[in-house]
Amino acid sequence: MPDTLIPTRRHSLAAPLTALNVEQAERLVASIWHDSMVVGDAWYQATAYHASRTVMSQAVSAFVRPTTLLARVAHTLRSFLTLPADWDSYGAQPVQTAAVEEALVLLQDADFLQLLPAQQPRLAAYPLSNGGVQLDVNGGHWPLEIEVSPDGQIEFTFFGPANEVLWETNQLREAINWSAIFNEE
Amino acid sequence: MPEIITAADELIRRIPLQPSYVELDADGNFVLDAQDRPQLTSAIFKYKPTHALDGVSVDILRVWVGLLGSEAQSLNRAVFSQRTRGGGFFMAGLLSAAKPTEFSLQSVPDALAATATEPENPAHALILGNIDKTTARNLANACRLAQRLPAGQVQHWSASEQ
Repeated sequence: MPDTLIPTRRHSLAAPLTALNVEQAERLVASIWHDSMVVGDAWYQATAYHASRTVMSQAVSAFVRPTTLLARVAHTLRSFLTLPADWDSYGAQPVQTAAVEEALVLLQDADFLQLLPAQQPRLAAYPLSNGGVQLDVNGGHWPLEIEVSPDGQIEFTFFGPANEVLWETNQLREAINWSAIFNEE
Repeated sequence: MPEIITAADELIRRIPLQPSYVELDADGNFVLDAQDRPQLTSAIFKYKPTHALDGVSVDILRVWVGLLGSEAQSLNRAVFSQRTRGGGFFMAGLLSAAKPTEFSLQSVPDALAATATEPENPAHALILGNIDKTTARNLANACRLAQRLPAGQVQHWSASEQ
């Protein structure tokens, strides 16, 4: 299975293109997931390489699906800003802009994809009654909750089989490291 | 005579579906676990700051059944209060009263008198105690939806399907 994708003759007439390997293509799409036009270009570029259509179909499905998931969750997050006070009928606070903005920044971080399980990743956003938001990551070995407080403070929490807290951190990089460790078990 | 909550009681918690506290898949359909149960988020039981003082509100199913006669009517009354009727979808989440006790919490009756905006709620109760992240997840796992979820995507439901 080739790692580098060879341009086809179709592209030899177009502007010069540098061959992308799978990792580069993933990073490209992940970093600009929110721009569907650019995602479309990446898809075109990736699938345009003759010798590696099979390789890219696997790669594309592996990262376009998560980016679609991220886009959907981002849409959900933005919708929380329209919730009135008492949206849960128990006196919830309106969701704060700072919480949504920080959550969106996190989703747009290219490294965030590393927190999603490779197989059947599940990511969902929920408003919190204190005006913050929560992201639930499921589908991996251990579930992960990401709480964003009303003022935008982020906390990652991994849970064990009895819902005990395995690890808490405020750092994305540390969360990624622990995610890799927990999911290797 | 004041109500006493026993381990056999079921507590009702309103669960919003718009925004959904039930996990949805990429197509907007509900995610079900191996037992065909919807996946509820721990956010259902996470506090707003004042909860530390006044607890998590629930209704005691038995009290409503005693007043209204049927479980279906009781669930409707608990879920569609004056306030929730104004907007959004809610479903009734049922939690065994034994569960809060199991997690070192206390369930106490807290009947509410009618106010200018709310009718009286003789079945109201509070879950008191420290609900940390683990407890919130355990409570969410123990909670089940009283009604079967309508088929299809939540955003396409009509109000009559509530």
